[in-house]
Amino acid sequence: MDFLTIINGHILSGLIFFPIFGTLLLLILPPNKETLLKWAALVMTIITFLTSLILFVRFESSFEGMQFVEKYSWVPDFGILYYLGIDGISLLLILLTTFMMPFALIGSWNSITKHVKGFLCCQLMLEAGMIGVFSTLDLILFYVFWEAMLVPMYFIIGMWGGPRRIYATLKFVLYTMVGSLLMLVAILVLVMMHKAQLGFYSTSLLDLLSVKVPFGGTYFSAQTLLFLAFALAFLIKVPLFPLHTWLPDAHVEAPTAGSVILAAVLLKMGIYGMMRFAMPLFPQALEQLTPILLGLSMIGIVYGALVAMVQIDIKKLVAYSSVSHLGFVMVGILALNTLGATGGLYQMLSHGLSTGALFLIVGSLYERKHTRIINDLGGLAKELPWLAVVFFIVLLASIGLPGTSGFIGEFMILAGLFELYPILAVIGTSGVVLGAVYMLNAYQKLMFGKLKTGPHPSKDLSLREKTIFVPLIIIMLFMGIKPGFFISKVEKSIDHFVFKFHNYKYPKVGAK
Amino acid sequence: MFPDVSAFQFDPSIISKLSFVLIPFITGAAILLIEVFIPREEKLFAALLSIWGLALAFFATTQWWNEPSEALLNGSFILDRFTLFFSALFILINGFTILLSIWYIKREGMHFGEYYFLTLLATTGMIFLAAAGDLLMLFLGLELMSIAAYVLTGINRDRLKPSEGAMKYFLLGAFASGILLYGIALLYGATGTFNLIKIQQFITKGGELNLIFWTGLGLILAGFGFKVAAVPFHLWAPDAYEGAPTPITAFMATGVKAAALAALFRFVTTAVPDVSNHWVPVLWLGSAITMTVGNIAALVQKNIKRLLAYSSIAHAGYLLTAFVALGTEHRLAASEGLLYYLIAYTLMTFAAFGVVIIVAKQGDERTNVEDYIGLGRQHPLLAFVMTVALLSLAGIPPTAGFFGKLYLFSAVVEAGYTGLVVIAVLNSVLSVYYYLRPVVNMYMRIEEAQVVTFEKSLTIGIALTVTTYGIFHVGIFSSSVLNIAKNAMTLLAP
Repeated sequence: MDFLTIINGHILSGLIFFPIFGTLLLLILPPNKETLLKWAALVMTIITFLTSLILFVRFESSFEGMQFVEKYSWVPDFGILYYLGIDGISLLLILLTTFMMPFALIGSWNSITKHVKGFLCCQLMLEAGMIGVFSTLDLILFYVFWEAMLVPMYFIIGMWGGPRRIYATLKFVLYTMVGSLLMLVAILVLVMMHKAQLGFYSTSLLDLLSVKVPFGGTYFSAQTLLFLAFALAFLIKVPLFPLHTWLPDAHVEAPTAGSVILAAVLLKMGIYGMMRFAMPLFPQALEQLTPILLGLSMIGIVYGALVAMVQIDIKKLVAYSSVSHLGFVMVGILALNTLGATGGLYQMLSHGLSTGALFLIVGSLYERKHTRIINDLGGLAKELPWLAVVFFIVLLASIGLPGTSGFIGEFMILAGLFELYPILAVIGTSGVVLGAVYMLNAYQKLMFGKLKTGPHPSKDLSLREKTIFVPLIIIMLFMGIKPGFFISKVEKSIDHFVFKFHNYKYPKVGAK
Repeated sequence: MFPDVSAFQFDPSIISKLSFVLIPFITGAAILLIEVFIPREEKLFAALLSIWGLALAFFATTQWWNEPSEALLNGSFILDRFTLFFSALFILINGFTILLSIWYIKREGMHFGEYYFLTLLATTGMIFLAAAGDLLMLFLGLELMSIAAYVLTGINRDRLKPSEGAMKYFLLGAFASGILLYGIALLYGATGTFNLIKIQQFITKGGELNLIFWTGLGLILAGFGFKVAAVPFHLWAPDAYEGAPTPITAFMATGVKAAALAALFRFVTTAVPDVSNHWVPVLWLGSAITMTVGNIAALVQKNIKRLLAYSSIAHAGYLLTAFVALGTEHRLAASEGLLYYLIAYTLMTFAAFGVVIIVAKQGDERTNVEDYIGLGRQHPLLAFVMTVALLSLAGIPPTAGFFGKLYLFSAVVEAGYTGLVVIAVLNSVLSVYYYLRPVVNMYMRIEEAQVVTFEKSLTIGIALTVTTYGIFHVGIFSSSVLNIAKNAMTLLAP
């Protein structure tokens, strides 16, 4: 009994600090023993994943409120706490993070040849930062993790990336920082309002939720401005049209592992930030701006898909497909009903897996052919049959074929959207169709048709690559067939999320 | 009128109370006398003697921390925790400078015993500045510090850049001192006293605030603006910083700035808090313009010393935002943030300049940003220290630089000046671009590097280790430093 309480009380910190400890361990090891370093890092990410499984197993689905809470005073003068805690939403996102990390490392096993130690250290620090972002309930601690994550990502893209990597990484950092720093000002204003209304300093989310932020009804009211400051930081990360322009460059220039983690996890942080912080703190501003945000998301869905259709670089195509898919997720969240929000969360997980797998496939392709231009390749199904099969299954999950994880999410989002704005659901469905168009088109050009191989034919999937793709596919199919396994964990949290808005919107209606 | 000399009794305890000020001065004087007898190349003893003297002085400051505040020397020297805090900071700054200087002097062949004496003299002046209870003492401290700084800037007198920098610094500095003195004289003419507390009493008792008063106040602020290198009084700084010996650049960027800000702080909160609605807008504007001009100018710099000079101008702008909040009732939080930021700023500045010293060869040959290409591969520890320092200057967590900005800006927001904080925050984003440029060179352009070797220095290594560790520790465990900062604010507590 006591042992379990100890675990409950420290597991989140353990998850955050274990990768940091791993970094220190790697620093001690000699830099030339690259295989040793890679295996050490891999083992550590696997341990982190297994530990997060403990989190999953011990998570109480029926408990309302935050679990595995850790609360320590950090800077008493300003009321900043070291405050961790998760609900169903954070739980699944942490799992996504720890799950994708080993795959990212295995996927880049052979493609990172210089400064291997530095690369692995950056990856581990990134993992620590990401888990930190998903598990903290104190706004300043959140901000620290949010910004601190930029540093390893900056190095990953800038040191091991493609030819335009310096431009891409600087764009990524500066773009993100503009949003985040304005959010910092908004956090400070919120904390000051809390002090003025309740008499003491606090930066923890649960305290700040009780601040009555003035709402004047115009676009310049205090609540709207604060919401916009928060939303800017998060929507840049989502990315929401038109704040998405950093994404294609960052994705294309990043190394495979960087792209995988960027797509699978970092983009989800924007949506998580909206759900956890921006939306609950400023519900009236949210209601005021929902039409605009919905509109931009819809534009993002269609625009992302259309631009993806004309790409000649596969990586850029997948990048724009992310814009489209995550526009979907935003739509689901903005619908503010159970179906939409659950669908949005599920689609986040599915997108993480499928887009992560897509980038791994692109990486495998690039390792063999050294080009990502679609027109330079063709007929690869003859040369690399297993790769073709894997690619196809992942593609189906990405499009949202029933039976795969993508379908559940998309269906629930569209159903939730239909409840509120039927017209938008119709437009959204067109996004699904467009998604199928550009993916199948690209697939056909790459895999079928005349074989345009280079001087040497390449080998099909190696054991290492099979180790990545098989589990990913299995999970994608499992998620498509038995969604209840995951949804059961988040039901209470989604209900809580939705209930807040309905309670505010329709005060007379009771729970659900 | 003039202090009543006949009533001045000599109280021996004053020696022990002022020991932390007298010890650096006496140590310096001793060095000056003894060094005549020491051969040219063996000036290491002067460094050791200085460090010994500074350690004693630091110990002396800690002795008075728990004693009640006192005004000594007829009210012109205030012994309170504010003074002690800043004195400890200045002693620390001097210590870091000496650590950076020992090896630098040997490499550059600058064997002047006066060097250490001058830094100690400047520190003495800084302490007088922070403790000044009346305008005369303020001027005394300022001049003591400045003259030492002028000489130190140009101490490498055989070379062009140092002489140019020193000349610009001296001419503009003397002019600014003149303006400050004129302002002091006018203020005396309007209020009848030099004493800061008595000036405040003059204002609250309804003394006439005529043109003479306002002109005096304005000129005093202008004089301070020069010393702090605020825009538009900053034009001397890039040349002076670039030309000065690099340890002295660090010394000026931290010590001189902190001392001037401490004196401005006392002036603004003791003498003229009741007319804050007049000087707050001026400082608001000054702060906003300073950070913006500093950051924009830094964007195009290719010399790392000039880049750091403009960055230090921008940081003066951030620091001045705290002064805007001093006019409101939220001054305690603003002061805490200010003091914390000064500590963080000291650590990151010395870390950055320490690396600059090692990378630049003799004669400041390698001080271009392009000279840092490939450092990440060849000298990873050095590159790491530089990266940490630059990230801290940019304000990226979890460094002390971020927490400094956080505490400072939260106090300013609380005081109601959210607009200024938005400007500051956008400036921070701008600064990330030029702070990251050396980092890009160090790590991301490794293929273009030529092989370079640097000589190693134990003393600089010690300084870099302490400052880098400090940047993380002071950031992540900031509450202990914040507590010290809060306790230092006795001059504001009732």
